[in-house]
Amino acid sequence: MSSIRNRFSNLFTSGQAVWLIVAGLAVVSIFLSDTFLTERNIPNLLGQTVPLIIITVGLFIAIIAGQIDLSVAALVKLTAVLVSGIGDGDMGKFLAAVALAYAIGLTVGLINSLLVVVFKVPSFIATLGMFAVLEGLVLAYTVKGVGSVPTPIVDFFYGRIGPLPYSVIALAVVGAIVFAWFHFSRLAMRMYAVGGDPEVARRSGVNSGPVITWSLVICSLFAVTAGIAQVSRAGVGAPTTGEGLELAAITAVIIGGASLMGGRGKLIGAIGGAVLLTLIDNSLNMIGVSQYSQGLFRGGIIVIAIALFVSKRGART
Amino acid sequence: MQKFSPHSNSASNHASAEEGEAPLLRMRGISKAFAGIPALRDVDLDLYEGQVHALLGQNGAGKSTLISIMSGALQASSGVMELAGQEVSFASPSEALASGVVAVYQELSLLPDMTVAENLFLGIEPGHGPLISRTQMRTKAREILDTLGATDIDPGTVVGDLNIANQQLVEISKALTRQARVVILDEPSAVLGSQELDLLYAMVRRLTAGGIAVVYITHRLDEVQEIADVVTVMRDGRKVLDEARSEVSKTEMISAMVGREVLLDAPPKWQVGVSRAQDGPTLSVQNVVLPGMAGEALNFEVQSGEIVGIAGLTGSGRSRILRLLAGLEPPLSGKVNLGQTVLNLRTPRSAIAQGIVLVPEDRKRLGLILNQSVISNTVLSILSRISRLGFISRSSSRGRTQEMVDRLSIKIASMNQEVRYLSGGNQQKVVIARCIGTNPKLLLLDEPLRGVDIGAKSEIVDIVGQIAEQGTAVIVVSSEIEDVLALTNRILVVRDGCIVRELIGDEATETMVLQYSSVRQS
Repeated sequence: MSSIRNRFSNLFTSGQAVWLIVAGLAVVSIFLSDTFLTERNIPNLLGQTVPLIIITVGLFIAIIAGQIDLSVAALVKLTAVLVSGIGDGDMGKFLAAVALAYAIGLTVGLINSLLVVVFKVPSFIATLGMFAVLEGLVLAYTVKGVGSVPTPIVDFFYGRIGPLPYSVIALAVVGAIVFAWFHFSRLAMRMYAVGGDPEVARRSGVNSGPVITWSLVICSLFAVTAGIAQVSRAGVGAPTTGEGLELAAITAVIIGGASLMGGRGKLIGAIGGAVLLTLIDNSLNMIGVSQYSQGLFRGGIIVIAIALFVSKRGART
Repeated sequence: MQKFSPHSNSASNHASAEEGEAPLLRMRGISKAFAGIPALRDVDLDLYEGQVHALLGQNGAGKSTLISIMSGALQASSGVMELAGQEVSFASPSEALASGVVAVYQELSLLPDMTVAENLFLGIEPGHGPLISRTQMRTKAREILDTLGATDIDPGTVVGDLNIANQQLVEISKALTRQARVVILDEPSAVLGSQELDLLYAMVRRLTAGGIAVVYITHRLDEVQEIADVVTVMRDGRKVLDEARSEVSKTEMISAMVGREVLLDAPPKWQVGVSRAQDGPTLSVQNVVLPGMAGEALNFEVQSGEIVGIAGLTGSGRSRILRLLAGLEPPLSGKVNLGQTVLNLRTPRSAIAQGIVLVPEDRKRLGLILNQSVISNTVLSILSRISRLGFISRSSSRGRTQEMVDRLSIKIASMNQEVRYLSGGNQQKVVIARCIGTNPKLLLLDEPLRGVDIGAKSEIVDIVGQIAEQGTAVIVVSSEIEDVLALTNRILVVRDGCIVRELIGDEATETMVLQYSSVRQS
């Protein structure tokens, strides 16, 4: 009994369990719905996952380093309205706005880490404050949908080879780079160490300040990227873009087997978590579950998935 | 400075420091005070290449402070330190590391979720620029583990999956990856079983054979004789003995650690044989074996109204005996009786239901709810007795608390004061108040006098005596022999999970306890 449980929790912490659930849910959806496995739905589903995966990867990096970033969704929102509002359908202005958005992302990441590293504010509080500030900026800029994204960009997001949208292919390339980065980079290894135990890292000669700074800056830059992806799919930026994405991303990281305390988790699991969350929504739609009861099913599936794979987290932390 | 001539060590055949050779690490006049209270006073120490330097002393003698200064975790208030003739002062552990001074602490500094290789090279990862070379890391890790004889540890294993002895090997290997010249081992044997000790000795000898100076902290004098070249004994922040090991006997080491024969101003409050209420049941522990402790089974009795002390070194199983009685650690075999009843000790809840309460070692974490009031904490264990229909009676909880505050003379501003604002001694009294509120038959005290000032200490000693007088059996465990002796003069000395000696009456002295707990009797 305990060995079965152990194997389950190993599956969970290695980030494989979540992919089993994804596969299982996909099979169920294929049987229960005629519209799930269609040429319209599959590319749509894949495209839908892109922004959440991007933001999840960023947040995963922050969480591994022992931090949390609650300002990501607000940053997605700000990026969306700025890029759409300033760009307003013009490619030149759009690119300028993208550059501006990244500059803002960099600033946000640096301010977050300044608060955390220098002023010792817990990242939960620091980024919660940043979340409020960014939300305020968005509403100061616009309270409704504003401008538009240039057509070629939107087309890119809907163009595809077979069932694979270009955006998914682009994401796969970026994803491969991130995987390699996790395996070969000094910084990534030190993030696991600082997130695992900052004191041990310190005694081993790792200065946690720069590591935390990098993790929060990278997280913000990924959030900006997610914002660009999100607004490009939508075609127009609105103050509702990206609402609730931070919670979805945190959920994705956790059901992917990472520890919210930092230092433990696999990227593949976090990505699986993001895919699972999008798949749950899509499947519920395709199966024909009413909008109103979807929350119940979504929550139920997530809770059962985690309960099934109770990790040995307690034993080690 | 006392002078000693470094002798070549028969155990390790390396080029030992010759007469007159300069020490690798030289400390002169090191002092350190915390909030005005001196922890180290004017300590001189010389470490030589290829030698094992044993550092002895009781808790609070200043050993930890000294090695913290050596390894950069603390900075000396005054004094100088020289490494290979160069004056150094380490502002942080990483600076000490960079100079080759590495401390291996009791609580291992490894990351359980990372692999052996990652742990070994954390902070000094091989590779170029931002990239690391995992192949190089594995190869180098293999080499270092082999050098130390840890051939069966795979560098790719996650550290959390290794047993504690192997984790320690990894920890020491980590010191080697840092180009260590001075390796400080803080009680490396405390977590090891006797078979694993040989492995540790072999490893220490390999370190010294490579010309490394080893500082070896331990409480076990057998180990000192086995491994050390030089012995330093500390007491009350001072160096009181510094000799070549071959020049000092165990007895000399013990008396240097204890300092004076009689440490106590007054004899224990509760002497064996003093008559007192004995209408309660007797606790009897029969043939109990602690899990993971392969030794003789435990057998002892504690009578109602009696106070019994359990003394032993860290890792000797002294606290585990208490944990076992409190239902926190089910026994492998044997039984525990209270009077005629056979106790069921599977869970803490069942232990409490049968009248056994534990005053835990870590009162701030396990004994109190720090941000709640004195009242809440005092009545926490007896809520059902002071409630009616599920509502807590405010007047009886105030009444009970007032009674306890008076009885234990707890100094508080008001009963609604949060306990975190109380002093250590008063916090401890609140824990005791909560525990005795249940009228226990057996009271277990783990480190009851730790972090408590002198005045409160003697008050708590009195309180425990009164509790015993009313018929409760009391067992007290402490790492401070002095504290146990203040409470009782019947002491069970444990070593490796077994009772090696019962000391009663005049026999119960600090020297005797130290001797039986730190020296293997053959």
